Amino acid sequence: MLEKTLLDEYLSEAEQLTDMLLADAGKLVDASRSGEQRGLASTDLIKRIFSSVHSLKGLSGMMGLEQVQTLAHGLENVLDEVRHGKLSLDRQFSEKLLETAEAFSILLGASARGAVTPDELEQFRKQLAVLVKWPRPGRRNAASALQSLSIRPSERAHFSPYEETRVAENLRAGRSIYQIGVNIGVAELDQQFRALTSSLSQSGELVTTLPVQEQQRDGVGLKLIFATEMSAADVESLVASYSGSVTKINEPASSRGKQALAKPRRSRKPARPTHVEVSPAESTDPEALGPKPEDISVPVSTQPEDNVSLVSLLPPEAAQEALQPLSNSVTVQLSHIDEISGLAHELSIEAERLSEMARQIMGVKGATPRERFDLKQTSRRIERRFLELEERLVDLRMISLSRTFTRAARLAGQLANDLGKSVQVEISGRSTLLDKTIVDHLTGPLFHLLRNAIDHGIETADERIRQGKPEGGRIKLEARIEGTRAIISIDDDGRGVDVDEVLARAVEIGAVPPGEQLTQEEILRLIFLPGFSTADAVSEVSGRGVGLETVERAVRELGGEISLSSQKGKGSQFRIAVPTTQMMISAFIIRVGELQYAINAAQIVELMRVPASKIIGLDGKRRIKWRGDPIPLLELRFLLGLGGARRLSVAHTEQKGASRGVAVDDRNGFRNATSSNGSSTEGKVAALVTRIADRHVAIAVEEFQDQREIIVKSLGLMAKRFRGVTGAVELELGKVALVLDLPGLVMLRSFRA
Amino acid sequence: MAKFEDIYPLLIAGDHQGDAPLVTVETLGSADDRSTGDERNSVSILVFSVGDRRFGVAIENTEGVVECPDITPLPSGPEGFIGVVSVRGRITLVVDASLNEAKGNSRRRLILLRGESQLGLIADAVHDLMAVPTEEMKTMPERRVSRRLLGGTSGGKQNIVLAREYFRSGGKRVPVIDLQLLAQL
Repeated sequence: MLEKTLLDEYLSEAEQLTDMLLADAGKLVDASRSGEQRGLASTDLIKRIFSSVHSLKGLSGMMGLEQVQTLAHGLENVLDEVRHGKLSLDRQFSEKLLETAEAFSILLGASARGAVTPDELEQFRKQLAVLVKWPRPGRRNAASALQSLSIRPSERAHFSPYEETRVAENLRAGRSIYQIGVNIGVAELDQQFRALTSSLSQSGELVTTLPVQEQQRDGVGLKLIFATEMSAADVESLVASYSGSVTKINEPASSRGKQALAKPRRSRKPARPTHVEVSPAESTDPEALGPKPEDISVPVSTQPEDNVSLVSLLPPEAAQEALQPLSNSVTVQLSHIDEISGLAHELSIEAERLSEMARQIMGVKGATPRERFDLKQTSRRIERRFLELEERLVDLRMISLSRTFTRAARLAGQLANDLGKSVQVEISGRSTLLDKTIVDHLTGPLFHLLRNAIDHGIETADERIRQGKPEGGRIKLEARIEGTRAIISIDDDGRGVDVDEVLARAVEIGAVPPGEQLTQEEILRLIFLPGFSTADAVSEVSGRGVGLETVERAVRELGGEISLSSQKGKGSQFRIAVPTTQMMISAFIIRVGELQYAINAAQIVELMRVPASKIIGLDGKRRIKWRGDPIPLLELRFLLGLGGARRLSVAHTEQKGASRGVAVDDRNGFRNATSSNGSSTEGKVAALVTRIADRHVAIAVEEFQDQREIIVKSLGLMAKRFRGVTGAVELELGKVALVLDLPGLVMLRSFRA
Repeated sequence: MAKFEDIYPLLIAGDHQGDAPLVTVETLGSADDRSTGDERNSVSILVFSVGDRRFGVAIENTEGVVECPDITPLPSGPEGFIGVVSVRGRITLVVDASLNEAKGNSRRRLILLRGESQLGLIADAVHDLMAVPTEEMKTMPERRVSRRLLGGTSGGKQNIVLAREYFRSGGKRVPVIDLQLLAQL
């Protein structure tokens, strides 16, 4: 069976999905009871329910519960028919659906625990059979619905079967179909289109969008097919700002539609049931039906109280157990974990401070060797515990590569199929744990490389046979941990890289001077250069190289490295090394002197610009007023050990219109901040307020630059030696900014004269 | 002894793109001009200089030599760590084996070291790749790890030990940087 951690992950997700599934199914029942099953909300619900079941099907498969997976597939098919309007969504059906969903979730839970009996499986199958054999209404030809719209035949051809169904549904619900013609400028196309569709979706259904045949002089012309209960006038006012034209293209089926309704909201009349009553006589195949619907104790009457759910048929204890949560996990937001990490870190700094204070006191008051020893021991123990705590918190963010690898394998299979190649994917190390953000960001590059391998690397069956290779290609996906890094490799036994061609191409694009002698490895590295990722780069070139620059950049940004080795005719191996843990924070970028630094936004209580006149006190004991109280003002320059005077000099700077940045007297070290619009704010000092111990402290910097999300790169195993620094970030290519830890920095300077 | 620069012209080319290693261990290992000595009885040492002092590091401990990008200084840390750089996306701690005698030379080299400590040795120049017979490797005298040997002529510096062994070349002692000692600083 599966490893415990993997199973837990799956169960946790299954639990969430089933919760959502049951909630949605319940809402659907409510909607059908109040006659709104044709409403748009129901359409959305159906879509979501379908999606949940689909995902649960996949999950069951991954958990190795094949029978459950098959049953889920059956349920999925039923839902698909509902989506396409082949099964009508009346109250009874909705209720039956809810029951089936409940039964499914119980089944899943029991199966996951290994506690399901053949009987229980059979019960579910029967439930499902009822749904599958649910009588369909007389088959309405959705295509005929399109015929009733006044649009061109070529435009009718544009509708997908699903969209046809939607038109039919809307017509049946008595809505009007409008054709809205708009012309949107190319520059704002994306934005405007989104805005328009969003406002339309709130009062109707946007069935589809047709391109406009005639050429527009400027901008892009579109025809939106929109179903709603609103009147033409209302629709017109809705699209007025897009200077669109509105034409009604259908004649509504019922008289109700002809009236222009004052409000755009749906009216709340209960729909009359139009479906066919359930009775054995109607079913298409009496034998195959198995037990008749009545045998499953689900009465056909419309009284809600008479509906009996499968759950209540079980003996009480079983029902209790069946409904128990599937997993022992909780879902936690990454941001919460980060917050806790921050708190733990602050605590550890306090603890250090405490030890330091104790040492000083002992120095002054004298202490026995025993006392000193005890203090030392206790400090060490605390330090170790904090390290452990921080490590555990980091571990919380880890997830396995299992999902990613499984998806990758599936993707590979599909792609191979599409390309008419046969490829077998071997996976190992799927339970390797990495930080969630790393896994998320790795997925793209991984799929990219996989696609390349199948597209360009693996040869066709014929070619392979000619070369004496097995007909099917083999790709090996592997993940393993080496120290603090995870190594993920993609090996294929395809045609490998033709280094001569790569070199030739490199010379062609000017990356390498002609006649240059390079080693094999150097040539392979060239593939990651930008020039190789142009679309016109012939895929024959080395069988690789399309878009690898993006892969390299993505891996770099994760603090990782990618390398390639390859043998012509034999295959290629990509190797990605990434750190296993990652820290992403929102940071403020500030400047001191020539250098930029990043400060975790979580450490900043407030940013201020203090007029120089408001600074109280002198050298080493400066203060400013903050929220009514004076707090110490320190210079970041000093904290960083960059020298810089203790004298605060407030020279008046340039007039308005001066460029950004400051330029004053160097010796005094202190400069004025400029505001971002370029004019200097005379005599103002940029400071950030932070909390150290339980006091607030203001730290003066030379310039605030901006705020952004950054990934903090670790300083390696020796990171702890560098107090005041939590890591580094590459702000632009080659330029490294340190990520500062303000409390740590202040502590650093507090105990050195 | 062949000059390093002759064997690896790329090292001097200067306009190598980006920060891919100019030379990797594998390539170093395949150089023809390397002194042939019986592999088993000698150690391959990469010799470099920082300021006036020469040092060595076992080639098997290195991952390559690159042009050193601009160094971002660190506000704290053990002696000898002058700052950080980013090489191929990885943060590398830059160590000055001479303990702050590295010249402010813009065309400096960085010798990348293997391991999870993400270390790199700054060098003003990289000289030779020497095969030093094992019997010529001597242990550094214990107490007398004098600052003369390791650099750091100014007073007040801690006695930092970066090398366990040394060998003689051109009449002088060339300490061989020990990775473990570095990581323990």
